[in-house]
Amino acid sequence: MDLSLQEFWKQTLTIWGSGGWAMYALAADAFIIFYMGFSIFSRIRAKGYLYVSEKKMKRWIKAPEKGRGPVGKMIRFVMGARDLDEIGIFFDELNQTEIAPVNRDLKVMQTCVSIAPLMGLLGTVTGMLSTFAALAGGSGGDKTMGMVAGGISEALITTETGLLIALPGLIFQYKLAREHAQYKAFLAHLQTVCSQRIYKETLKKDAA
Amino acid sequence: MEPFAKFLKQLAQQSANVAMGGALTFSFFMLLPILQVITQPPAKDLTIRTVDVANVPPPPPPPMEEEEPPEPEPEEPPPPAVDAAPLDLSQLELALNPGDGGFGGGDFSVNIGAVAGNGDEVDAIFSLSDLDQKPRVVYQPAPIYPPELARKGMQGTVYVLFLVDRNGRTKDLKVQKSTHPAFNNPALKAVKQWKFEPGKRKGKPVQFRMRVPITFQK
Repeated sequence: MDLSLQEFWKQTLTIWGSGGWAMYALAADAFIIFYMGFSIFSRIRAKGYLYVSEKKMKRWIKAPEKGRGPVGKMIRFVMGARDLDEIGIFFDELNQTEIAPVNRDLKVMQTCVSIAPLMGLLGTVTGMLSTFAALAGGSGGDKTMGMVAGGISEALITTETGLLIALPGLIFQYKLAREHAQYKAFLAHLQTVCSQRIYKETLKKDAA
Repeated sequence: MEPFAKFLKQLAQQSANVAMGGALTFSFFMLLPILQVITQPPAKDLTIRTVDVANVPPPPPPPMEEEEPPEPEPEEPPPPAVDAAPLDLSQLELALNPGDGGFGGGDFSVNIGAVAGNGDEVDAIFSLSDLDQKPRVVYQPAPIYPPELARKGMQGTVYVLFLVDRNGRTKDLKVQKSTHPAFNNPALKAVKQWKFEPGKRKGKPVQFRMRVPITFQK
């Protein structure tokens, strides 16, 4: 078992190595995709907005000092407003700090995902070039055949890797975009509820 | 202490992200060899067995026999392939070297020099592929479709085998294959009138042999 594992690992290294330099680029690209993905995921999930129900939210808005967690902090921040104009400004600021960085990271991730197959294609082209160079310059012996085979395997492996990375990356990115949209919807809902609350308070104050 | 704890938490979060990213990258890269292994056909189970070799002394040589073994019967020559089988060079010589006596005259005058390859090539016959310069048709009248056959609406193809001599004239016409014997004569008559610019080999016009299908159809 140990020997076969070792054998498998050796084979793995050969397969990775046959892709040429494009494999390094693909590995870096894949790492960026998944690192970005996880950091976006953990940042959105760390807000804990999924655990704040409608009732809890209304309660926290009524008494901001009771709010807990990031959502409670946000409510405390926006409920410091005295009128509708102010709460609009506060929410703009909140969007700037909460939504914009995630948007930016999502864009980076999206770019990396769409780059992956292109990088594979680039590896294919260089592999084919080396194949043809071997065919043109070789004398047709074993060495030439080895070079041709190496070029072809580089061409195919890089394409395979690019697609293999792009597929889960695409799904992951889609999932994150959905999550982010949910979070944005939550913030928009929070803004409506808080604005209504402030509006009612100002009406009461005017009446008094 | 508060900012330090916050920093630690962030650090832990970041390292978790890096670890997850690295792990996912690694696992997807591991998919490559795994895919290759999966798509590989399963290796056949081969058992290696040791075999003892028995040292048997060689049998004594058989007693010398006086009588010679009977001569092996000469093998029947294979039936001539009908289609496109290039004729042997010597065979063609037989057909071609008759002097003026037609087919009957020089049946066995084999030009050994040409067959052996050291004679001059002037009289040798070449197939199209041996020529340096391909022959060109100068005059090629169409065969006359026999009217009685045309009326019947018969169609057919005649394969004519012939030689083009150094002057470009066709000779030794032979019907190799034909779908209907009635077409033979008109086809031969037509081919007889053809004139070529003969093909060249090493700069000299040579005789060569051709096979042409002639199709009669309305």
